[in-house]
Amino acid sequence: MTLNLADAGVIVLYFVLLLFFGYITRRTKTFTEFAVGKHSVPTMMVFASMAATIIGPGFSIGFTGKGWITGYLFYYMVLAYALQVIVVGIYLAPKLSQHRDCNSLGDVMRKKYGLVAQFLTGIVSVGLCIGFTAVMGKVGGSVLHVVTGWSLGACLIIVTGVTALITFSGGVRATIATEGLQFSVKSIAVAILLLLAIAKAPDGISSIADRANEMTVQGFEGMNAWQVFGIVLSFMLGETLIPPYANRALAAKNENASKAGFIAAGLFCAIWFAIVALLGVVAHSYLPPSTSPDDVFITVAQKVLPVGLFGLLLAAVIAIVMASQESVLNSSAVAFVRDILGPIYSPTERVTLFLAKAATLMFAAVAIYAAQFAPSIIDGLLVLYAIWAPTILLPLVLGLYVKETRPLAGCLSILAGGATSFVWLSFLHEPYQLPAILVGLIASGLAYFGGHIAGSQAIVLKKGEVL
Amino acid sequence: MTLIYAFVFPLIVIASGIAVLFALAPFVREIQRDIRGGTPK
Repeated sequence: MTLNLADAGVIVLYFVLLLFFGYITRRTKTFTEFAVGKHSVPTMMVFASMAATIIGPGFSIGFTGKGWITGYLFYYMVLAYALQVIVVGIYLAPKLSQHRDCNSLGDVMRKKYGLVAQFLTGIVSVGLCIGFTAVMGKVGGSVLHVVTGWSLGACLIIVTGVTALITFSGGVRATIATEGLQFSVKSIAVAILLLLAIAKAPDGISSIADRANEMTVQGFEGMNAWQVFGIVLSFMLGETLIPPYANRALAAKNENASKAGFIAAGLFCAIWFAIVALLGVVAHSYLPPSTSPDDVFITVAQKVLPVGLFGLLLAAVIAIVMASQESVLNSSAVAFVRDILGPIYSPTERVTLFLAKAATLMFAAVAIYAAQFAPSIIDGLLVLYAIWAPTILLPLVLGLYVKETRPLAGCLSILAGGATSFVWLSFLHEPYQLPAILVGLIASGLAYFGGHIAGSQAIVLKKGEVL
Repeated sequence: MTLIYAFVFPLIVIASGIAVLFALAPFVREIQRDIRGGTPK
């Protein structure tokens, strides 16, 4: 693919705008500012940041690829994800926002289950965030590789490296501001792409609708009930309150901002998923059937968009990747400093901030290396979902509602859920087609229940804190 | 449903993108005020 000068100009302009934006918003003085932005983020920015983070490469480029093969099938299944964000907004995000003294998810877990639980949460959070960064970096690197023809290794370094450089100097509030800009660029560009693709399609909207229905039915016929259930469950629970989302609930200026921001993001996602899935269906009017699903998004854009607008779309793709990467990189650094180092080492505020910034760069380097081994977009995400939900989700949700939590219950739940899911997925390869996320969640629940019965009641050290 | 996905949803998405641009300005001003050491939250 050769890039037109005007398109390249638009991309350069976008990067200049991003750097200028970064320059005027990035200077962090304290770790609390770096982690949760003084708990001062308004509703609209919670919404934009949540939506920008959720709509990563998997839920845009990946979903257009799924629409290309199975019509609306994955759209119907991923509605479970949008529903999850709305439910979290109503019931969990406001509860998290009440913890004004917490800078990370691990902090909340410490208050409920003690230091060991915080440490375990930190380990899972950092591992998960590096995994997400790697999967997203691979997509961004692959797109850059296709567009420029540069080596894939160099493209992986450029995409994740630039994100890390932008993220490390600022805190979560600067990241949220940048995500707001990126949200606008990608919303406008991708929506215009769909409108133009439909307007220019040689076959009319009614034949596109017929094709979509036919492909969706065929897609459903190609899957059994367990597979559908496993994917719906993964979409529903796999990303629930992962560190970047939890951090936005903690960063919100009050409970109402957190609640409204999450609900709006869930509703927006339900709309977004439909337009990217439909784009995959419409793409059949332009592309040969042999086109690789992961290439459909970019290739159809190249066919449909005029010069200049295609550059804007490429800028939007970069925004899609970077917005998600920024959030998870920031969260990985916060989790490392607060939840892994925190329980064993208490440095000064200045040193803590330095360590958080250094960790951002370090984890970006690890993610660049890991990206070479990352699986395809949706497959990679589903593996990460199978780890998060069985480990942290259950003790976190119960911790927000159960008044007398027991440290043993939290720790056992994390360990049993994580180990079971990992063994079920990696060594047993999901026998009986039972999804690892479900088996892990059951193990996590049983371990929590056992730990709650057996464990002594938490020793209350001070208000709201346990050992 | 395809008609709604094709014509209504893209317009809502574009409107959301523009609305966030308008919300961004005061948010950035607040960050800059904090950087300059202005009124604390």
